[in-house]
Amino acid sequence: MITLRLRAPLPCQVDASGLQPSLVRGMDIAALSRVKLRVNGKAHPLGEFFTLSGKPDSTTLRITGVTPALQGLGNEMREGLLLLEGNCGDAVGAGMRAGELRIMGDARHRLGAGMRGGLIRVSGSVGDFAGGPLPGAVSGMRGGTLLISGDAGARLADRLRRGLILVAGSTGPAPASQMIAGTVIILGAPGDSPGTGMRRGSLLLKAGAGALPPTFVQTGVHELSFITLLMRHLETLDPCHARALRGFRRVRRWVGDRGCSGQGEILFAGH
Amino acid sequence: MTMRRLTELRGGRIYDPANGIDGERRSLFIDDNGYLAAPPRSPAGIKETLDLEGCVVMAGGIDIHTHIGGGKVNLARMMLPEEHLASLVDRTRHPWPGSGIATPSTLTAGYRYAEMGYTACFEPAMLPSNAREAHMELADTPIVDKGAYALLGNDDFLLRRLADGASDSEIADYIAWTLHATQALAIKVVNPGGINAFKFNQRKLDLDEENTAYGVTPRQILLSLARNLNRLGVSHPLHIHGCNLGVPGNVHTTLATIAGLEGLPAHLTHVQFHSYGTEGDRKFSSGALAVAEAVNRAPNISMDVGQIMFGQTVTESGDSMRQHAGSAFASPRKSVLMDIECDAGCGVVPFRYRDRNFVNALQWIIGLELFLGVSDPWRIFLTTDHPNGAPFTSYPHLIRLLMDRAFRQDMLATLLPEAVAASHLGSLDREYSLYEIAILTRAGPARSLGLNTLGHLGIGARADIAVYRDHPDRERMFSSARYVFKNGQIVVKEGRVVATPNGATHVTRADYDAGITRTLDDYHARFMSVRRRNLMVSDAEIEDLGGSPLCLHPVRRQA
Repeated sequence: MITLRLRAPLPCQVDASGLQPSLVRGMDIAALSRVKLRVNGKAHPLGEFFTLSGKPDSTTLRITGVTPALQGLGNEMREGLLLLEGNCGDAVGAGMRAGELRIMGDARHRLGAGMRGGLIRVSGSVGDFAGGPLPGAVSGMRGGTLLISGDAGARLADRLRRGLILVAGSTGPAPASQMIAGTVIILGAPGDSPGTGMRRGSLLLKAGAGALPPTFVQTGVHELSFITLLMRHLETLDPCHARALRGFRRVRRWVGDRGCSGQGEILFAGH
Repeated sequence: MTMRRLTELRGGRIYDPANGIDGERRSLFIDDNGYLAAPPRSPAGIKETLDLEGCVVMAGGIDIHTHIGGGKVNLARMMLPEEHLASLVDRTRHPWPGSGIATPSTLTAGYRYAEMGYTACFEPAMLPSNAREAHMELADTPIVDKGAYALLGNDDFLLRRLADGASDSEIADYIAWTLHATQALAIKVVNPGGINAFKFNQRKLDLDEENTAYGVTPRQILLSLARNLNRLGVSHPLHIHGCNLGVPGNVHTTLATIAGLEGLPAHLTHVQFHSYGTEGDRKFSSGALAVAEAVNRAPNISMDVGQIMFGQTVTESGDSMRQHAGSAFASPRKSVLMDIECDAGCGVVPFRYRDRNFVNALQWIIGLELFLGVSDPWRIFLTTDHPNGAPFTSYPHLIRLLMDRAFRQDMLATLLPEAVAASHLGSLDREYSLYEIAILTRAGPARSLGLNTLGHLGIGARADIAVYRDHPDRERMFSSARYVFKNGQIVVKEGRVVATPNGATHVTRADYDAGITRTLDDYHARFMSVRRRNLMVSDAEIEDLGGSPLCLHPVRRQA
């Protein structure tokens, strides 16, 4: 594992999308510290801003002292493990394809925007539009898994098309807004109007939602076999939170959003 | 008398069809004002010499039909955010950052054109009510000269007047006023009357079909505009985007349009989209040879091709009738269709051409059949109808397809076999020469548009010059110029932009009777959201706000 420690605050926003786990494969510390980073329109060696340590024995890259000034961390990531310690900026892991990204701290808006695969774990909280689309894109996250231990901001999983998102804490308004398909689990308190504009997909809510949009229809209490499968899948990723899914053995199912095609579902636990 | 000091470009092979020079090795001399000059009497008159041994020298390229300015371009940019995210240009590559391929930012468009040796681009679809924005967008496009064609033929005013049997002199006045008000170089008509008919729920309009609201036919509109432009003496004839774009069987409409123009000069644009037959099992076939023959027989007609290339692009058109039909095939699945101030329409539909698709493969073939079928290179221009057929950055690839028969056959062999079997392209052996390419991309467009000082390398021409390293791979050669001069200044060196001066804006003006302004004042007061005077783009807006010197082209003197 190679560790990069940010030495001093950065003078401006820096494009850090090049700091990928794939970069460290087979590169020694000396070569790595010469890798160029663009700061203020000029190329600077990595060693100017970071202290480097460790051995290039795996595709694992650890960055400590992360600040929001490092932009584009984990963008389009395709392999390996990226460990980020500190509070990250916007669009971390956007367009990610494979590998694992762990954030020890918080992340701002558009975490994992448009990601297609891989796993992102966040120990803290995240901003708005986590798992959503890149600005202007037709769909949000198209695959992969997002596990958030803290809270999420507004419009979690906006336009989600495929994949799994779990939030252990509460969320801002309109989680799963305009969701196209996929699965979202919220264990804390969901914000108002969950599932607004939802077309397909499943939204699992542990706590009661404040105000469901009027365009959802109740369809009774069910025992759904897919919950068991989902629980088993989550146990391999996040055993601690997988246990919380036991409450979903019997669910009250609402269908919507009937304002659009309306084949989505919101499942309430504990019935 | 002070001696004028000249820059000598020595040793390059010159291709200058306007002056009949075909690959001759000779020197060019650029004076301090940025014009080409006669050789000096003594060597002392030479300030510096540039050795162009092994290079091909042509006038700067001229794109006669490229959508790079106006509202639709911005809509397209907003609809393809992923393209911009994927094509950010590093600041070390260009003087200022930019992005986009099919929908380049203004800066990127100017830089990319310059890198390929192009020094003038013309926006073919400027709505009069949108002229100000189009000009501001063009003003923001660096390096290249620019100009725009104003759209007429679907505007409520013209259709009303035609329906009321207006005289030719009134229509001519209206055209001349429009040229002046919108600072245009020419007049274009898009789906004559059809865009308007779409608003009255007509979904197609053939050449002799009446617009239900006005009772006017496309043929009347075409003839009236073509006749009156000719009467005014505007250099570029009516720029026609005909009826039934993209409809199988529209080759008959195109042939009827050529015949119906009764010998009046006219330019048919993106003819590839208008050359489809209905033969074969799939009821879609090439009509390219019939169109090429008709064009060969009609010396009054010029055309550009609108070649397609496979890959992602976006179609932008004023033809909301046809774009409405095309929106079902949008990729990604989104589109914009709108009316603009009763002037015309606007439709933006993203599209991906696929080489495994029968129709797309045949479209590619039809474009090349047209290029190879039209015998007079002075009447056919090289375009992809950027970005409708492909981004303009594919021009070098297209040039190689025209110049290299073996390469063309190799590319043809990769297409869907059914499409290849349905075409004659494999049997066409013609290869374009460098001289002919210089006609298609420089001399021809300049002559058609009436740009006297552009598109050639004679004495007195503007020193807009492209220098390419000669290379058997013409795609590589034309992708990246060794030097590009704009007004005598080096703007590109080894394919990299090194300076970004502002290009000129080319306009044409014809006299009109003041009576038309009173008629239009009344019309605007009664029907429109802005007054006539607010519509007019002043010279100061172009020159001071836009930073682009106006280059005025007078109309031909009338006998």
